Amino acid sequence: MKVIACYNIKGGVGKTAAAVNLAYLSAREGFRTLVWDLDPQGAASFYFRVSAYVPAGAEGLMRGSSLRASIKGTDHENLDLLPADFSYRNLDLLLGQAIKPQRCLSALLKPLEGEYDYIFLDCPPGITLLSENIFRATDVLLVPTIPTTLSLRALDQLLKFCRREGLNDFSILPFFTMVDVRRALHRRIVEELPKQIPAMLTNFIPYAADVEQMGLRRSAVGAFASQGRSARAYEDTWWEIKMRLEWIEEDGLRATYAEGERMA
Amino acid sequence: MLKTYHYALPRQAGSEALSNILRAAGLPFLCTPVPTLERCYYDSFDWRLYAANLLLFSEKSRDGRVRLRLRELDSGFDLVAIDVTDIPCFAAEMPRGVMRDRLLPVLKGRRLLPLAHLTGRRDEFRVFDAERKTVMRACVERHRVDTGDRQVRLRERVEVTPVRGFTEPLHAVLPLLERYPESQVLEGDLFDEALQILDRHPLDYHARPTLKVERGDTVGAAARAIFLHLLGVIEANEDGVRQELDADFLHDLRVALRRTRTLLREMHHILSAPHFAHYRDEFTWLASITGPVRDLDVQLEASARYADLLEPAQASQHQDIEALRGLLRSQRTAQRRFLLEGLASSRYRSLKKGWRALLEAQERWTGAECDEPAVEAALAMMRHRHARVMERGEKLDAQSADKNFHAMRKQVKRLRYLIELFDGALAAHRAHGVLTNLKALQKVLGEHQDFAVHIAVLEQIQESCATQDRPSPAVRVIAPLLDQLRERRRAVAEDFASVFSRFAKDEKARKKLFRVPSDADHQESAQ
Repeated sequence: MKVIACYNIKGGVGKTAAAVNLAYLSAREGFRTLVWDLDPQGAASFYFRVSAYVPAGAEGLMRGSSLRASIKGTDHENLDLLPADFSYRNLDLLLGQAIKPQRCLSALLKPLEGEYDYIFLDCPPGITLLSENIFRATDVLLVPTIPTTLSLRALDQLLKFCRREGLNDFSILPFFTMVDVRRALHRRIVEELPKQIPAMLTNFIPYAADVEQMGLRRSAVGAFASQGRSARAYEDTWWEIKMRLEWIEEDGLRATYAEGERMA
Repeated sequence: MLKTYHYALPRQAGSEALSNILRAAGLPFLCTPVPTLERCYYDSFDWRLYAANLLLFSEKSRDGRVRLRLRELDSGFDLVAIDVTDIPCFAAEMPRGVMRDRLLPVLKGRRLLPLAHLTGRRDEFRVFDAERKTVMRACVERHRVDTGDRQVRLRERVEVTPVRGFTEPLHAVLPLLERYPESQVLEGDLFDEALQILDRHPLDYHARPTLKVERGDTVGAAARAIFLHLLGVIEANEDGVRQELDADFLHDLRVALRRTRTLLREMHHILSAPHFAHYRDEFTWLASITGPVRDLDVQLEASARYADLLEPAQASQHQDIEALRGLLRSQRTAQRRFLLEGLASSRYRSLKKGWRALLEAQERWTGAECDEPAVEAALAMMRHRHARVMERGEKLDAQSADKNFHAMRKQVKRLRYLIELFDGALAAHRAHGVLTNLKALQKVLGEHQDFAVHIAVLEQIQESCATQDRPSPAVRVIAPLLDQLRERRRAVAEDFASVFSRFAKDEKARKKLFRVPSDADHQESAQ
C-alpha cells in the first residue's frame, strides 16, 4: 500500500483535482484505491457525489473503530472514498489530545494495508499538526504548484519546514498545475524551476476548462473528457508518479531539501 | 464482505422483471443494453486460477472491443478489468499492471486455456440516488454455451452487486427478487453453470495421486490404483506436450513417469517377472525420449540468466550468449522431433494399451504377494529406500563424481515419491518432518544436477565446435561460462554435507514416519 498525499500550504492550487483525477486513473488500471477527503470543505466528496458526512465525525474516526464503516464506494470500480466531514475542522484539536499527536493518521491507515494498493489523501491547505501527521503517514507528497511567485514561495516554505523538522521519510514530488503557456512568466518558471528541483515532475497540468467542468459533471475529468488535454496530462503525470515510485523503491531515491535552500 | 447476488428468473422475464422490481422499490435507475457479447473463460490446465479463488474471462463486444476481467470467485466481485487487443497466452505476456501482478504468481509459466465459450447479451442497470450517485449495480445476463456441436441456453440470471457504504437499495431489492414468481437463488457464477453443461469439473486434474490408501487396503489394490492414476496423468498431458502448450505438460508427464518407474521398481515382486522386465524397459525407453527435451527446457530457461554469471566485461558478450542459446534451441528442436516420433509410435501406443489392460485386470493384482497389507509394505519399501539414501549419502563428499551425486538424487526422489504416494495410509502429518529435510536434500542435489547437465551440454557443444572450420561465435562465451558453472557446482557440492547431516541426524522424524500408524495417528491426521 502506498499513501500519496496531495498537499500544499497554499490553497486553490489544484490539490483536490489532482487527488480525484489521479485516484481515478489508479482505479481504472485496477489498483484498489481510496481517496480520503481530509478537507472539511468536502470538494473531493462533492466530485464523487457523496455527502460530506461521516456519522461518527472526526472524533469517531480518530478512535479508529468507525473508519472502515465510513468508506463509500464511488461510481468507479476499485475506487472508494472516505468522505469529508465538517467536524474535520477540529482535527488539529483532536490530534493535539492524542498520545502520539504526530502519528495518529499513520496509525489510522495501518489497518487498511492489504485492502488498498493506493490511498490518496486530499489535504486541506495550511501547515498544522494535521500536516505533520500527513508527512509522517505518506510515502509521497505530491505538491501541485501554480507557476506564480506566491505558489513558489509556498513550495519553498514547505521544503524548508521539512528540512528543519528532519522529515525525510517520504518523497516530495512537486508538479505544475494550471499552467497557461500563453503567459511568459508561466513558461519561464516551468522551464527554469525543474533545473533547480530535480524531483519536480516533468509533466504538468495545463490550465483548461475541462478541469473546471469537473464541478458541473461531478466526476473525474477522465470519465467525461478522456481525450481532452487535461485528461491526457493527468495520465502522463500518473505514469510519471508510478515511475518515480518504482525508482524510489529500487534505489531509495529521495528529494533533497537542500533544493529548497537553492530556490531561496 | 460485499458479494454479488445471483437469481434465476423465468425465461425472457429478466430485464422487465428487474425494472418492475426497482420501480416497486422506488429506486431510480438507468438500463444500458450491451450488444451481443462473446465471453470466454480461461484457466490453466491444472486449474490454478480456480484453486486461487479467481475467475478470468474475456468479453468481446459487437464493436470488437475485448475486455479481460479478473473476478473473485466466491464474492463475484470484479478485481481488475483491462482492454486488450489479443488474449495473452501467458500471464507474462500481459501488459504491466495489476492484472499481470495478480496472475503471474499464480499461473507462473502455465498457459491460459479456454474453458467455456459463451455468446449472449447483457442489460446493465445502474441504480442511483438523489445526487445521481451509483448506489447499486445489477445486470441481466442471457447466454448460450457452446458445447462443440450445439449451443445450450443457460438460465437467464439477474446479478445484483452492492456499492460499498450503500446497503439500503440492496435490502429493498433482494426480498422483492426472492418473492418474484418462479425466481430462484443461484449459488455460483455463470461460469459454474456453463461448466456443468460442458461436464467439466473444476480441480479434476491432480498431477499427484490424491487417492487415500486406507489401512485395510492390500498392496496390490493400492499399487493398481496409484499406477492407474499415474497413467491417467501421462495420458492427460500428452496433447499439451504434442502441441507444446507450455513446458509444464512435459514436466508433469515426466514426473508421473518417474513415479511409475519408482513404484514399479519397488513393487516388482507383485508383478510376474516377464511383466516387470517388459514394463521396466518400456518406461525407461519413454523416459529416454522425454528427458532430453525437458533438460534443454531447463537449460534454455537458465541460459536467459547466463549474462549474470559472467564478469561485467564478459557480460557484454550478449551476441555470443544469444548464439549459444540458438544452438540450444536447435538441439531442442531435434530432440523434440524424436519425442514427437516416440509419442506417435506404435511402441508408445502398445505400452499404454498393455499397461492399462494389465492394470484393469483385477485378478492379476491379487494373490499371495499382492494381498499383503499396503501400509506395512509401504513402510518396508520406505525403510529400504531410506537405508539406501543413508548409505549413498555417507559416501558422498564435495569431490565425488557427478554420477554419484546423480545416483544419490535418484534415491532421494524415490524415497520422496514413496512417502508422497502413500501419505494417506501413513497419516500425512507423520511424513512432515522427513519430507522437510528430504526436500532440502533434493534441492541441493537438484541444483548440483542442473549445473552438471549444463556443464555436460556446454562441453559437448565446445567439443563439436572444435572440429568445425568456422565454429559458432557461441564458443567464445562457453569457456568463461564453464568456469563459472564449475565453480557453482563445487559450492553446491560443499553445501551437500551439512544438508545431508541434518537429514541423517533427524532420528525423531524418521522413527515417527516408520512406526506403524495407530488409530490415534489417523484421527489426528483427519483433524
